[in-house]
Amino acid sequence: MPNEIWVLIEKARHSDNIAAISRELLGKGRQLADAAGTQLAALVLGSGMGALAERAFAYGADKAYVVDDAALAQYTTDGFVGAAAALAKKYQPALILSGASFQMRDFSAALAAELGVGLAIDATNVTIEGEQISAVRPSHGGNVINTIAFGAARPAVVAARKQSWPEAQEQAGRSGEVVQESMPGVEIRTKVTNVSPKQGAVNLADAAIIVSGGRGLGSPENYFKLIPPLAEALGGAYGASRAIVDAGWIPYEHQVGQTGKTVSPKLYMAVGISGAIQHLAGMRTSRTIVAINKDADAPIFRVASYGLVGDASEIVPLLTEEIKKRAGR
Amino acid sequence: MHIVVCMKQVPRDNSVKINPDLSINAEGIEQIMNLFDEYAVEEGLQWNEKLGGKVTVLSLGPEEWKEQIRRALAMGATDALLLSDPSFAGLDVLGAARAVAAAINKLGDVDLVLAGRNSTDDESGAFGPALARMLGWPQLTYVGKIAELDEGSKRIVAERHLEEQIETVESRLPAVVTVVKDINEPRYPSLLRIKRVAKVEIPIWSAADLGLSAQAPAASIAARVPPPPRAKGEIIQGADAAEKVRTLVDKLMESQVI
Amino acid sequence: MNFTEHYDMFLSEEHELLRKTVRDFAEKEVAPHIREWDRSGAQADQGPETRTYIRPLLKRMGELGLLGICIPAKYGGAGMDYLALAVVCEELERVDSALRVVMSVHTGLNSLSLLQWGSEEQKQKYLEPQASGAKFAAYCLTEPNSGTDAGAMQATARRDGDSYILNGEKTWISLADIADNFLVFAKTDPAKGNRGISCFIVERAFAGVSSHPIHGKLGVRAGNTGSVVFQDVRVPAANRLGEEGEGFKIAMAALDNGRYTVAAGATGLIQASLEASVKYAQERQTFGVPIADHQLVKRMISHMVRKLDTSRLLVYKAGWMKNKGRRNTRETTLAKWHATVSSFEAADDAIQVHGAYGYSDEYPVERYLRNARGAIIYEGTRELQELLQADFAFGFRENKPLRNELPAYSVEEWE
Repeated sequence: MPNEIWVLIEKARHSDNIAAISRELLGKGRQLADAAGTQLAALVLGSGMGALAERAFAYGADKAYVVDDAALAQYTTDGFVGAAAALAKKYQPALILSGASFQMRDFSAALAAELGVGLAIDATNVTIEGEQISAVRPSHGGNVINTIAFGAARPAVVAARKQSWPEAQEQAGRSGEVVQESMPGVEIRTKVTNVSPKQGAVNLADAAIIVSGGRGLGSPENYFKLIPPLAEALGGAYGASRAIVDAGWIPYEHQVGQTGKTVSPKLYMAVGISGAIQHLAGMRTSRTIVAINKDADAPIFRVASYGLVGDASEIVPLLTEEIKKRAGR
Repeated sequence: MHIVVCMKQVPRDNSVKINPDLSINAEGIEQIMNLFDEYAVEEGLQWNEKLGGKVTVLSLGPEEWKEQIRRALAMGATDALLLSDPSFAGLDVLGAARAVAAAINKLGDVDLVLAGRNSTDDESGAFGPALARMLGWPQLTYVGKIAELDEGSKRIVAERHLEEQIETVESRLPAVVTVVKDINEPRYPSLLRIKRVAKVEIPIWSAADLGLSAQAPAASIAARVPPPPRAKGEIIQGADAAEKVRTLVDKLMESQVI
Repeated sequence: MNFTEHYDMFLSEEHELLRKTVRDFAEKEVAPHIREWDRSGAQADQGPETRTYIRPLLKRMGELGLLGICIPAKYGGAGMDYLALAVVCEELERVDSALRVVMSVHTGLNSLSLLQWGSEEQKQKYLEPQASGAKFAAYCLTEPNSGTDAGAMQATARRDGDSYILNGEKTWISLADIADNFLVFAKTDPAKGNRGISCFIVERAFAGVSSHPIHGKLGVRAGNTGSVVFQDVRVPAANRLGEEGEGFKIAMAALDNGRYTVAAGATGLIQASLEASVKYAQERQTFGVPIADHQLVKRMISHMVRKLDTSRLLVYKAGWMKNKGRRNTRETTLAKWHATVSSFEAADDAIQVHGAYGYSDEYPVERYLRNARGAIIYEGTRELQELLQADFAFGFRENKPLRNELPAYSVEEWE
């Protein structure tokens, strides 16, 4: 049987389930494993997180490698990379899939370097054809789509961008084999002494719906009058163009674009944003894009799935009301 | 304390094209210092002002990159080093990290390496972690504040600014730190220094100087294409704003977007 | 494309670093606010200058070293050359003319006059804080009844022991309400016409100095312009710049520097018009194609390119001559005439390219047009410059040597 496919499991932040990204990766991993005729394994690293292995089975894993150790209670590069590298050397998986959050970028890049293997961060697709593993990753603000061909060294390390694949569906009663491993003797040179929630954190990367405003709104007062209420009606987060972040309307946390956040939500609404290339870089891969702008020639309309030409001050309150009414929110 | 800041030159915007050999064509686009690296340079300068020693700005790329190196020198970096070799042209992030690690080992006395959290062209953020592994040093990525940096006790305390939380992390030195935009406000190059650095010789180390032999990358670019055009959108028509809004919501609900 | 490439016959690597630095500053710290600032100038009513962003902005320019860009380091400057002054002006006016106007009056007209004519004591006392940006400076020549005909000025300075008593009103003074130091021209001997004019360094702190802003300007609305009134102001004789009666020559020599900054700035404005038009013409579509494909739009773009390159070459030639210590009145006035007239035409075409959008302040090009207009009047009208060129060509006019010429640039001495 070909070598296994592994998925690094993360715990959901606000429940005991595995994180959405892990469910996505298990879904994709299952597909790949079936096509290649191999097994899908969950890699569960942590302290007291053994229950996550059961959850991973429910979402399609055949197997789980579990390292349950106090040294892994907090993410540290040395701890996680040390454990993962030791297991990878021992079991020789073909592919290790993880998410591409900051923590997972820290992990996957260090892991690939540690093992001397190939790496693809921000992957939006992975394929296995015979011996050839490939990953697709955008770069240059989505203006370049790269296909990375992994060489013979295994495992291929792939950190995938969120919302690239549908999440695996839970299958009740599914179980699998748990392989308990002990923590290898690695020195953990960093120590996490405190973790605190980020003040005013805006997790745009996680939001399924984002409403962003730009300079076309005219003033910060208008931004706050129009954009957050619409975002709230949609159950989404609110973002901003660089122009209004630079003008001090709203903090950098909200900036979408080349030097802000790259997002890929289900729905992205751009209000009063002309669509400078730096902004498009941060949102062009969104599934559905709605643009509201009074300039019918604004470049944003060229990437928009739906465009509304008109005055945001008139359109947005109507839209907010309509959505509240229709969605019963 | 000897701080090395790794700096990359990037196109100001990403409206690049793809050459037939799959290399990136950024012709006609202004080249600038990678934005996040500017924060790394500033952080290096601020600690250098407190602790003394050297700040070396290090770049791996063609000779044209000297322009951004001079910018860093005009900001206040004390030393500069360019790693340049025809064989570096096709390096991936891991290959670049390997070359930079060799240079840092050759410098010998480095206490801290700073770099931006990622470059705005490649966007992977893999360089810092890969460099740390190749040096065998601890890494602290996405740092928004360096609270302590102590040469004597070889200790660093930093805050990592993650998506939703801030981690305070202690580590020993030497270490590799990548920084985010929150960390400082980069200074402009000093005009007095611009004059002085315009003529400074920037040392160049080649692959041979670093004792590097060609090594096949563990992964390579098999294809590079522009993004598929988005499905043609539609401009919602209607007699008035209210009608347009209703049509839009209909369509979003039909396609189960909301 | 990069419109500032291939000027290395004039510029070196240090100028390129400088250009990027000034561009970053203008784009990061000014561009995001300029529309509001420009509007604030239109909204201002009668009364004192109340806009609070102006002083901090000048202070930032001082901190960066822009205000003393071409002043020797020993007098507090950045020690770069006269071409560096042009690069700064280009990049500032590429974002807004109000920024370049600061360079024109503070550096071009005032500080360079101190460098050219000042005694060592005057340089230490006044040039040094101005070059380092600790003090702001303006230039007071124009009066309500005397513009191009400067000799018709009515301001007087009467000798009284160790000082002069200065009376008069100066108007259209940039930084009237902001400057700490003024270079003021007044008649010490009204019977002698131009030869009876003298020049004085006057501090705002001197008793009898007051100022008020001019509102309702067509352009440069983000900047402060006003009138300065001198009422029985006692000015120490030590503050006379140059000799008694030398004021007119000093005023004209100052204009060689002021006009140079105006010309360089106008070049930046042409570039801004061109860049905005190139971008817009590729975005905007009519008849199913980008308007960049229409020939008459192409013509407007190509005319802007022609005006940009010719203006820049004329400016750099004048700057090169300044660096060499050569008199450049003809070259500077030619550059100023050509660049300012071209900048107005370029902004006008830029509006045309933008269509109706260009007519509102949604896009910056209408501001470019309003800002460009003034420079065809101030620091020598278009008509005056035209006459000068003809007079030089006929040999009716030649540059007589001055007692003090603007010093040639020297790397060692400026260090």
